[in-house]
Amino acid sequence: MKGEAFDLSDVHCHFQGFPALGGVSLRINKGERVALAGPSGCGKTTLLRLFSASQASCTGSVRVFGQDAATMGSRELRRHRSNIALIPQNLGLVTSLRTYQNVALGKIGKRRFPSVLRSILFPSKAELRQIHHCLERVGISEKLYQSVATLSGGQQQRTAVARALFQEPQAILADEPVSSVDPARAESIVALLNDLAEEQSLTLAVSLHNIDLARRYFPRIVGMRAGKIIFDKAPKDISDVEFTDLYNLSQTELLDD
Amino acid sequence: MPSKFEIQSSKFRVLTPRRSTLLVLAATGLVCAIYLKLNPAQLLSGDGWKIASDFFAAALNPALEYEDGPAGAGWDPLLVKAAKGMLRTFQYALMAMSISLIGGLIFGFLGSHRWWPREPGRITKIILHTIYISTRAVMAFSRSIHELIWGLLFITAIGLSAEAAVIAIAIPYSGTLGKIFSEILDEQNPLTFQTLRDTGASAFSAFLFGTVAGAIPDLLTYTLYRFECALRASAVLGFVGIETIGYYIFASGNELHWREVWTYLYILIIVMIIVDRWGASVRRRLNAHTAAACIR
Repeated sequence: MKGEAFDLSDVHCHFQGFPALGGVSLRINKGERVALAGPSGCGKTTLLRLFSASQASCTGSVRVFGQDAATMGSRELRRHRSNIALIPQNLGLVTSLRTYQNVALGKIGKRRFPSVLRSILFPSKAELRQIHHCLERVGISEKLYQSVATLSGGQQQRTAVARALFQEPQAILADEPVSSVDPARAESIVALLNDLAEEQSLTLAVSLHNIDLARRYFPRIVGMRAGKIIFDKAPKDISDVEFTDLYNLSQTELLDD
Repeated sequence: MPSKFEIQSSKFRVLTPRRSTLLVLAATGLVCAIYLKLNPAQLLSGDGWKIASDFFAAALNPALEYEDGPAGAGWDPLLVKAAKGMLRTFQYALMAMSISLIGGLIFGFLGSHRWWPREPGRITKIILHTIYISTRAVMAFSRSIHELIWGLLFITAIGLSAEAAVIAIAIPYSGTLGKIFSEILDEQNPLTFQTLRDTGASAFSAFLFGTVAGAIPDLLTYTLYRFECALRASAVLGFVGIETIGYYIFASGNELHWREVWTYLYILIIVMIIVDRWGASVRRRLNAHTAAACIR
């Protein structure tokens, strides 16, 4: 697999006067697995949303799978988004629906309205089997018919991953996928995302607080702070000083957050 | 930082905002009572005491037959008449709610801004605001007039008919449902909608499968509650001549047949309790998963 998945050059972003990204250039190739590390508010989420063509860049160029995001029409934007699975930090599940219905929503961007409605209300046997397979892959196939609100935090996270799988994307982007689970579960989610990406040769970008997990599972780590990239290296090349510096916040930064 | 002295003095302030509000409310109540010449003794003067005691004594002894003697030929016995009246009351309420539900969903959608694009153009913005404000105005108008007054209006216009009763309830109820529905939709977590948009969904699909689907338990709970209100409204429409159980209560009451009145009241109360219990069980099942989520 050749070519770049995401290519940002000199991107600046401001939200209501607050700078989110200050001149970021970053290139991620297809099939690469990258961890974005850094304190909260450093621009990781903005970066992921730029990758998924969900966020308009303010200045600079954003190319997503070879195409300039700024030149895409709304139809093209939707097509791109339907090929990229973005798992937000809050997961974005519809808690009043059942697990299989939430997984089925992964294909909402690839289908016309009537067929989405059908897959929510009267899913075909073949489709249920496919959804069951996705849930099996993330280890919660027995929750197929359960209401999502009754699932634990870890199970909800896995449901969101299954939804991303069912989407059949070219890339999976996960924003802080381990923020709401205990360390053992955090590790298993990160391992699962890496396995899936490798298995299906997907591009994977994950934002992580947990530097230790990033180090053990990802061949490439991008360290960010205050909207800028501090380092972009393989884990073995990153010194301990660089890591501690990343989180060594000044007093004003601590109060800002 | 307030100084020590300021903290001390605020402790001894006599007129805090809360106290002065309560004082003003109490004074207003007193002025109103004097202006209306309210006199509790009036309740028991004249026949008041006797009628009240007759009425409540009859509660222990509801009528099973007409108080003027058994029904003549061609007339339903009292209990059959009461059951038929109750059934009609129920039918009016059900029909009115069916129409209100459709009206409420349309109003609720148009009166919500959850489905609006994030950065609408100038023209789109004007159109959206026009829709929003006119929907709010229509809803406010329809529900600020009570169903009894709508009933009188329609009875005057098209005569005493089933249509008049149903429409009289459906109009204000569409407005109320629409107002609450739009608020429920606007209170939904915007991130679900956003997630589906980020997956490539159109705004319409994201609204329906994210926002509306997420709101279903709340929408249903409120609709069930409104159905109970519609039952009461349907009964009350009897007082302006629609042949529901309220009509019989009114007629028997006029003749001081309190035992008959109680028969009708008991049937109404029993049906209300059944509907309430049924609604509660539906709510419990709907909210079972939400409760489980809270425990977690």
